[in-house]
Amino acid sequence: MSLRLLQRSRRQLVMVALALLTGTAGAGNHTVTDALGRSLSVPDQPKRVLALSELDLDALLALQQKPVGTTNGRGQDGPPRYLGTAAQGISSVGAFASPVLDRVIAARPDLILAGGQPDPALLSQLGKIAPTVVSYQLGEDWQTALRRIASLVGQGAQSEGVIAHYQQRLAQTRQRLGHSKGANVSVVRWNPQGPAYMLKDAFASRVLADLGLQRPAGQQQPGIAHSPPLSLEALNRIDGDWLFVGTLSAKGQASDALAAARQTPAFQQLQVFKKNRVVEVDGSLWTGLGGPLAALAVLADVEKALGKP
Amino acid sequence: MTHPPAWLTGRPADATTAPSGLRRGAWALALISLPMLALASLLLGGGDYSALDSLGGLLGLAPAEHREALHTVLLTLRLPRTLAALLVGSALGVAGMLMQTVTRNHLAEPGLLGINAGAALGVVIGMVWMDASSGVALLGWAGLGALAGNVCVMMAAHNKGRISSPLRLVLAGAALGATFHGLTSAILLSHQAGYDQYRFWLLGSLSGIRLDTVLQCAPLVILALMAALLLTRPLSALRLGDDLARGLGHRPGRLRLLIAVTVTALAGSAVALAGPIAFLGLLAPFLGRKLASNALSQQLLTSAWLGASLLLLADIGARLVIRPFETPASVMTALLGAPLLIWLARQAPSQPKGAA
Repeated sequence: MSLRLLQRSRRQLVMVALALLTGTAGAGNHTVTDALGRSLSVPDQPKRVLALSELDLDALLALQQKPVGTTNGRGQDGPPRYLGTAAQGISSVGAFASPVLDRVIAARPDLILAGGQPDPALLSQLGKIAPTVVSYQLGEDWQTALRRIASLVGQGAQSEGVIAHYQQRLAQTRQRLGHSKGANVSVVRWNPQGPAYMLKDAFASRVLADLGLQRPAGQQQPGIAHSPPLSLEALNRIDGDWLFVGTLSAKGQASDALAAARQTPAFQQLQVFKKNRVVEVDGSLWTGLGGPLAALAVLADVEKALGKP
Repeated sequence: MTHPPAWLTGRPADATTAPSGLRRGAWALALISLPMLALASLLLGGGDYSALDSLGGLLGLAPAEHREALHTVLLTLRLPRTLAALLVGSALGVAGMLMQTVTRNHLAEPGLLGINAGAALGVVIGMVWMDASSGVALLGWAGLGALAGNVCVMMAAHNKGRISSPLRLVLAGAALGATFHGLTSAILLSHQAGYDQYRFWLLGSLSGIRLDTVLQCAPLVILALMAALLLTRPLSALRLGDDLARGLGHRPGRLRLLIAVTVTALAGSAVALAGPIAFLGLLAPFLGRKLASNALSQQLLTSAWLGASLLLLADIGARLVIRPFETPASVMTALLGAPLLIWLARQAPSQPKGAA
């Protein structure tokens, strides 16, 4: 059975190759080095880009490029919710971080962005469909990733504009912080059996640092992901001047969990709860890998909560 | 050829083979372990309060500024965990003991035979598609799943009226468990947000358990434990063989059905409370047989007692090993249970007492 599948995908591959040859006739190729240090030949002006990670998708949309497909956001049944209408109509080629090869082939990409993808087997399979570039390594900031992605899709100049816009919004938000300048901000993904806080080098943590905001003393460990599930007895580690807390879904079970948390006595003892400074946010935005649009969305959340009217 | 000593085989450690002083010591240790561990479970935790602070809080001697926080920790976090460990531990211990007796297989237990995995699948189906969230609803779904698992594995065990070999039964259980687990993962992968919420529960953990859920599940567990105790008498007759049991006025078919229902209720409520916790149903009856006499009622009580003690111990360990973070309690039971399983599987033939 797997042999037949292989033959079928090989046949599709040939068809794709033919389509590409006719479609990109005249356009040239050039060689790039990706985030893993691999040299690849990529089209000068890719027309059908596939964005396999949330940061790739976010960066392309920020550059006003619409990819031909993407994978679902973390904990989402489609593109990340914070992208809203910008991501509407982009077809999904699989669940979060797990593209389905058949659907990748069907999307007929001429360039695949596989940022953060460490699996060499998957990369080589994708490479047979279209040039596959690892656009960033996990842990690189979104600005570095954006610049690399922009130059890949021939929009090198635009990336500086996007970053400048972020800097401008950053300065605005900073101005409006007022009393909250330098406040301690806790960022948490809620789980009723053990919430996790975001480590110091995570995406949202970096945006907060850009704003000059602090993290609580217990949330200073280096790392780009979240902590292990915290004991509910040690919930004081998520206390702070402000608490931004989310689950991966705004509807259904996960947000019910957050509503239940507010009823929990241990949660009600947090200073931040008593001061009514708990802000419920989109967990897939605040605890994900981020990107230029995500950074603007985080700034908007912070401004809305902490900013003076 | 010499026979291995009784303590190696799990056969009755009767007075002629076991050093009685050692056995009395083990009894005393087992008896005091439960109250001691229950107290330790109230005094120890992953937070900033020391055992001494907690003792102060328990006795009402805590300084005023800590009183409220300590009460929250003791009453809303540690008390539910402790009660849940008592219920889940004894339920799994007794479920394992019943299964081992009825299948005449020392390796039979709800975790290894896929019943816990069935219950977990039931709970996930209930939560994802049926919007079940109350303790009673989850209990119902866990029960349905446990029943499905139990029916499948018993069909594998009793093909053509004969009892399968111990390892064959365990292999069937492992295959069943893997299938249920795969289905559970498939459902959760297509509901990504759910996955993030359930994955800790899916591993088996007492963290974050709520007192009202515990109290909702408690009556069923207690009822099933009492039913199990009543069933030990006819089950003793069944150990002599179906014909003899019939001669003594029992109905083997109906009895097996009642035991299957009891095991389902025990495993189902354990999973509804704490997720699938493996190996406890293996460990508790194993140690129980070492301590108890040949009488099934005594073995059952010992299994319940030790199951509760072991889960308390595992849960305390789960809070402390990487504090202030949580480890699933099932990781702790697996650390103890996996070596025992390997050792037991290497002891051939594995036949409970009274089976030969």
